[in-house]
Amino acid sequence: MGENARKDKAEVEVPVGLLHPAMLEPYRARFFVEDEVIVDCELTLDPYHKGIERIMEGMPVHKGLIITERICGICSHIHLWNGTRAVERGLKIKVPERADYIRVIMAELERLHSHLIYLAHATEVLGHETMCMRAFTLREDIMDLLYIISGNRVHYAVPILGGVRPRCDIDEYRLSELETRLAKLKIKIGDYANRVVNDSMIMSRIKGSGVLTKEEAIKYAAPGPTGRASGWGVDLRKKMKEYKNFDFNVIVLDDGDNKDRVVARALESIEAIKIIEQALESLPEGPISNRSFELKEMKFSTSYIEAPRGEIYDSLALDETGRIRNYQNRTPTLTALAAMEVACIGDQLTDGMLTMASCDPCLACTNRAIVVENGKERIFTEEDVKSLIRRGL
Amino acid sequence: MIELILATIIIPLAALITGFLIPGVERKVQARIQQRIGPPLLTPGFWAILKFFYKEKIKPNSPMPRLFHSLPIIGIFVMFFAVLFTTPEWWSLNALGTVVAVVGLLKVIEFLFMAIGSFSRSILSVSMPYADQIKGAVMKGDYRRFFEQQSVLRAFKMITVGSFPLYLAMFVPVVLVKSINFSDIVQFQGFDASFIYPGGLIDLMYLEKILSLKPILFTFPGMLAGFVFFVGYIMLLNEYPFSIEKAKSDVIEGPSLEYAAWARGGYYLMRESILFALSSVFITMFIGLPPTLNLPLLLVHCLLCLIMPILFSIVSAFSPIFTFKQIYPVSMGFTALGFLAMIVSLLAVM
Repeated sequence: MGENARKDKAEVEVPVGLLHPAMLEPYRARFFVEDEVIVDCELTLDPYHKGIERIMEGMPVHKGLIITERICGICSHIHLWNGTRAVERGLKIKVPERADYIRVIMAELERLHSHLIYLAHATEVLGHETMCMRAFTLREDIMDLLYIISGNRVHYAVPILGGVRPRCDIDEYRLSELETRLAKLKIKIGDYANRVVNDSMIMSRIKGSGVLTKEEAIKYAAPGPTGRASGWGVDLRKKMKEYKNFDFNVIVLDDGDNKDRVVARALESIEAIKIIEQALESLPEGPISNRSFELKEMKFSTSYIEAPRGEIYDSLALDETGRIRNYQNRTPTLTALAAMEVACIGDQLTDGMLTMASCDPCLACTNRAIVVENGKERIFTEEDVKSLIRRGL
Repeated sequence: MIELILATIIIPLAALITGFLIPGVERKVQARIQQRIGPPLLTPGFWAILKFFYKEKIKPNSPMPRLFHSLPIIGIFVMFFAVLFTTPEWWSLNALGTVVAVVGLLKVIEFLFMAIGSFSRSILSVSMPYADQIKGAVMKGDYRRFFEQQSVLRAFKMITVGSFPLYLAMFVPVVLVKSINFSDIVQFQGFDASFIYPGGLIDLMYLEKILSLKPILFTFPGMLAGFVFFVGYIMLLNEYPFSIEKAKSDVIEGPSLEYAAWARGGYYLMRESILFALSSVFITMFIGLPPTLNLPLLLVHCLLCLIMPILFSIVSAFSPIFTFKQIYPVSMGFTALGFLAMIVSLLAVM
């Protein structure tokens, strides 16, 4: 229905959050409704922040980059990879091809992990507990694969400057385990996706609700699969040199509703398995890291990467001792949720919450205490934040 | 008179004991479908409630806390009376042993959900200490609505559209038997005075008698009505897929958000008694086996009462929550099916 349905005044406001079982993390949603139909919505995303940028300021680059993993528990690898990538680009560090392949394998496994959590969460918000449980059961297999490569289930710490950690190399045993388990997983995920798509009760809920048109997706910069489900075919992986050897499809759908956002992720999961299979098949021999580089002063360096939820931006500089200066990170949820503010208009109230969940929001990554005043960015200090809290802001 | 008093004590007790089991059975079935072990059988229905009675008492955020707390207790009594009205010992009390009386009590239960929601003001929506206006928002809503109030509106809609199938199905046996009395309905299916034997003898004779019943459920209109009753049963219970009154994704637990400690225990007891009462009414009307003082028959009745919860937990495990976009057509469809059952039964008796 989109923006045209916005009205100046609604009958009733139903505020939801900060604490709510359908919100995995705290944010405030104010739904302005007439009967059960949402005529306007307003989201506030800033109830808390971690202060990652502040913590990293002045840290040695090796130590600091590890903290980027803590931005998100689901896509921790991609944050570390992008931070590392920004420094590698700035210092012109050459990364061995084998390391790039391992990074790609981890990123795609993480995409599978993230998309399955998404499917579990979406079906839970739908009220379909069984499909939620099944998605979590499937996810366990992927967690095992992540564990096989990295030795950890959540924070994998695979990339380091110049390559990947020695413990994360893929030997013969790991290779055969990955290949065998992936083949089974591909069938299971396909079956799961078919089951969801062919369930008329689930389809009746997700089809036609939360429509985000292509124009709106572009206007609000809806990132990753959220934008692609609305027909905006942007996928940074197609531009990344690390992915140039892999053949995969960018999943672009047209309807832009909740169904397409769910289906896009299910299909992307299959594409992710395709990429991993290709990477395992053609895993190059050779070193996994290049340690012949010198840490020195680095001007601002930036890197963009395609995370499971969409585009991630990292930028930082290094001083002459190799310490981090002005680290900045932007995650996809900010624009994704902003787009959902529009997409939920015209939905039933219950579907409105589903629309919010359909963009796969991750507030842990998103909340930043950065304001832009008079065109100049400002990072809040601890004292600033305390002062704001005291003033009730 | 003694039989009446005994029935008034023993049958609610049997309802209570079966009620303790039902949530456990329900959760176990769903867990097995979801490839989980699930909780022990008595945990959700008995131990959880017992635990609630030992929790710290918390004053609810309600304009009328005492009335708010007393509503589940009223619900429990109402449902016990619904069961008692179907027992042969109560048929002697004029006008109580009729389908109309039970329908009236079920209407009270539907209203209770609305009343509960109306007296609750949880912290989870409007009262959340979060200053929306300070953030620069323009207040566009005329009125700020609590989750419970949203649930009340939904409960009201469900009374108007969701309860048709259940009541239509309940009147199909009435049409077939041409009587609103439970005594006539069960007699029509082969239940007679020889069944009633106070004292609780365990005898295979009862098994023979039960097998000799000719349930309305096994007739064509009965089958249709039984199916419609089942859907109406899920609607009245506010369970998946018709649990819009307590949709976790928006209104969380709906009307019962403010029940804590013993009051939450009471609320769960009310739910258990509704589960039992509706199943019991179904067994009486469609199988022809009312709850009686005869202990073997009462035991069989209670066991049969577990069938409906098992079936609905299977349906619930495979369903998402329906919004009114789906509930309206589903309710209309089953109402039409109920009318069809009614017409077929009318044709059968003409």
